[in-house]
Amino acid sequence: MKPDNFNHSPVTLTSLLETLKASRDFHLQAFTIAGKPFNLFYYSSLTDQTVFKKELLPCLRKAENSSLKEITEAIPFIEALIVKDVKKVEEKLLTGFLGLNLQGGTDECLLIPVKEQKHRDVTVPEVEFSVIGPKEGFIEDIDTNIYLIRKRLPVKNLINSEIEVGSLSKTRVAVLYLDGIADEENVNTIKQRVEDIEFDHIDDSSYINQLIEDNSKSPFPQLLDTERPDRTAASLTEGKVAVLVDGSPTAIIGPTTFLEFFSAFDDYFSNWIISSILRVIRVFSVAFSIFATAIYVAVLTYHTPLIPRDLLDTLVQSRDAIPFPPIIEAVFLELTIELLREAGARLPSKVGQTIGIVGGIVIGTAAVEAGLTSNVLLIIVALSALASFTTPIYRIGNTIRLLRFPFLFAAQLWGLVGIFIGIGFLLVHLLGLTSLGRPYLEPLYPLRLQDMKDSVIRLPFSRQSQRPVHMRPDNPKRFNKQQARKTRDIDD
Amino acid sequence: MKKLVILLTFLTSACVQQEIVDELLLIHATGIDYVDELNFRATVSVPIYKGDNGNNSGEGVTSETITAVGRTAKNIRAEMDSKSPKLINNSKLAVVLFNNEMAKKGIIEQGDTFYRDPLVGQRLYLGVFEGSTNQLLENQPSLQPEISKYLSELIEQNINNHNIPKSNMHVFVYRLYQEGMETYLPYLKKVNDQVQVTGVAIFKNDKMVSALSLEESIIFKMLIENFQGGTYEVALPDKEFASIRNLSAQSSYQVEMRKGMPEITLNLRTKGYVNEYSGIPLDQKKINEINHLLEEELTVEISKLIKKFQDLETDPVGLGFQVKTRTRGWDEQKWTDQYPNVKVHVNVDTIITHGGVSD
Repeated sequence: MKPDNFNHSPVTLTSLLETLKASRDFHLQAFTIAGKPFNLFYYSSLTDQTVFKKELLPCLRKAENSSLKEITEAIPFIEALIVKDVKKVEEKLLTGFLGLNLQGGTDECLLIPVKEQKHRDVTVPEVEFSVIGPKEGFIEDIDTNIYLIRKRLPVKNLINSEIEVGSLSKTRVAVLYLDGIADEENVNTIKQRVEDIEFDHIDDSSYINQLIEDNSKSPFPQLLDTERPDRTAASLTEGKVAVLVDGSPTAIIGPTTFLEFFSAFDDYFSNWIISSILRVIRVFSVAFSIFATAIYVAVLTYHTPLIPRDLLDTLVQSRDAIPFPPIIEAVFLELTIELLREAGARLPSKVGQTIGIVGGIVIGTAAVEAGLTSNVLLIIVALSALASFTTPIYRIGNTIRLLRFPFLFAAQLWGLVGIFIGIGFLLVHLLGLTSLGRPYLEPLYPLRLQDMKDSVIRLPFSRQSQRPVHMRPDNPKRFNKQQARKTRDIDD
Repeated sequence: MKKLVILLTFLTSACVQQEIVDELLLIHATGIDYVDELNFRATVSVPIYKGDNGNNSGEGVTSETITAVGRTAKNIRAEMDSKSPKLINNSKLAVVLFNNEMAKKGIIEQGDTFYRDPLVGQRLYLGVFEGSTNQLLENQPSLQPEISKYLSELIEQNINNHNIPKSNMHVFVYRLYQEGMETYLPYLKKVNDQVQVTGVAIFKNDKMVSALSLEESIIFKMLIENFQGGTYEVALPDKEFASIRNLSAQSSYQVEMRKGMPEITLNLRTKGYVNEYSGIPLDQKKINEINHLLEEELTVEISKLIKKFQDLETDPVGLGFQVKTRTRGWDEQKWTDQYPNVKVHVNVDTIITHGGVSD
């Protein structure tokens, strides 16, 4: 074998066609147009045979002139192009073009797009499902996804700059932003990072996400991923930048903040009071999920005086027959829950999850009755597992579930002091994190009160006249507040 | 840095003494009895759990006692440790009762042991019990099988809703060490097989000198704290009586110096409504009469109580403290000499808001 066989590309069209013929789905056939012999070549798997046979062939047969230019005018394909460069021909053939070349002539080819368009229909988003509101989710086809966004933002400022990534996959990556609203720095950062990606095969947007995030050593996701076109469009209007990847049903949005991972897009569909309460509940449930088991272990192992008198009887009684120290039973139960979740995720349907949860209860009850764990701990572990699923973004839910374990061990080693040491490390880490160079904990730190309007709480839309300063938008005003007031005055 | 942290994790992991909650013998109540001049006997009550893995939590709890006699708390602790299958831990101590003989002899030495122990909470209830605390703790009361819970709930209930002034270890020690004030504790007694809070034990320094009855206790409570929700019964002429409910009291003091001798005016404002009245017509006139009688009766009772304290040469009301905070150059010795002869004027102002539901 030649040392660089892979990157070697044929110089002439004839040799190219020879190489391509190795594949069974590559077709090369002779064809006569206006009395002259032509070569017709294409990948049958990449081209739409119906279009080819019903629309292209009749036109080619009817063509009266044999020059490529005149053929181009005769056929109803506006994107057809004439190319001399063999490399370009190769590229285009592999993306579903059909080549036409005069036999025995030059390397000049007419390339006609007869792409096969196969993708599933737009369906309901599965992960970020919402009871009320739009029910469209992104699909694997990037053009459909861009269409879904453009439909929501019919303005000329919506810019789509495409970059090709992946030496093998040649994946189309679209960077979308609203010109005049999004900060140029953000746009350039994302573009730069996507362009700099050195990887052969991009299968999903999460590849891009991991390759361009600020700190890949952090368990926290630093770019938001969503499968909702409405959320993507809304983020664009705030001045964020979205990245769509061909073949991936999720978009990446940045810059983002830690608190944004606790906001479901449903929050904007219901009343601001209700959605604010729900967000607060989510933040508390996440804190509970991380710390509850660790506090149980710390208190039972070191801090007996902290247990209220009335709770003491219940706790001691439930632990009385258990032969393990609290840390063992806690780790045992936490691992069981993780096991069930992982098994549930691998099972094919949603039925699998239900079975997983039921299995959890059965296993839990049996473990208590066998005297392996206390039922108080079972409740705590089950609740904290439940609480970790309240996060609307799937990726942060995983982070939170795994964060529990370091806290659990810290609690065993040093009790509550250990938990606070853990919190210290966690805070330092979070404070240092950035999303596209912008602070991750904003608006909590740096404290930006004007951005609090859509963080842990969500104020009504009438109060959301300013775009978040976090994004440094070129145009900070969403609407003119004075004008809005005036119209209401007239109504009165 | 990271390596250092990881190293420290392993190096320090065994530094803290683990105290797993179900491997401890948690003392819930302690009783201290007088034995002789040198020795005292301590009885600790620890809970025994017979629960079937917590399925009927709180029901299978009874208590057991460990007893030891010795000269010092350390002595006693050593003896108890030798009798205990698990590590004895003080952290959930809720009640400490002193036998009345012990209380008369002085309880500073034993009280100090608990006060200094950082594991023991400041909200611990102290009390004086008439009789042997050993026998008390060994019994299982019918109302609540776990004796310490029973005792602490009994004291708490009486403090919150009835005649006993607020008392716990913090209050006890504060009043003990505050100049111009003496301390007090709830006084418990066994009456017909049931433990009852019968009043307040009055101390001089750390020695109990007298015990107030429940009727005196409410008067005493009016003098030392602002409270709401008390009950007081007024006797009317013709064998009638009226019960005043939801009684609230606020006391304030004025001090005047006359020839180096302090004169104290005590202003008490109370408010309440007539809940029960044995006579039939309860009109505004009658209410006014009750109001007047209540004022008179309270004035007499308060004066009597203060006189009693002066005769005992103890000052649990904290009159000395009132004088101290209002005059310069207060001298404790001088005050102690003056105290039995200090004049106290009592002004009571009562308001009866309405005549109850029947009104």
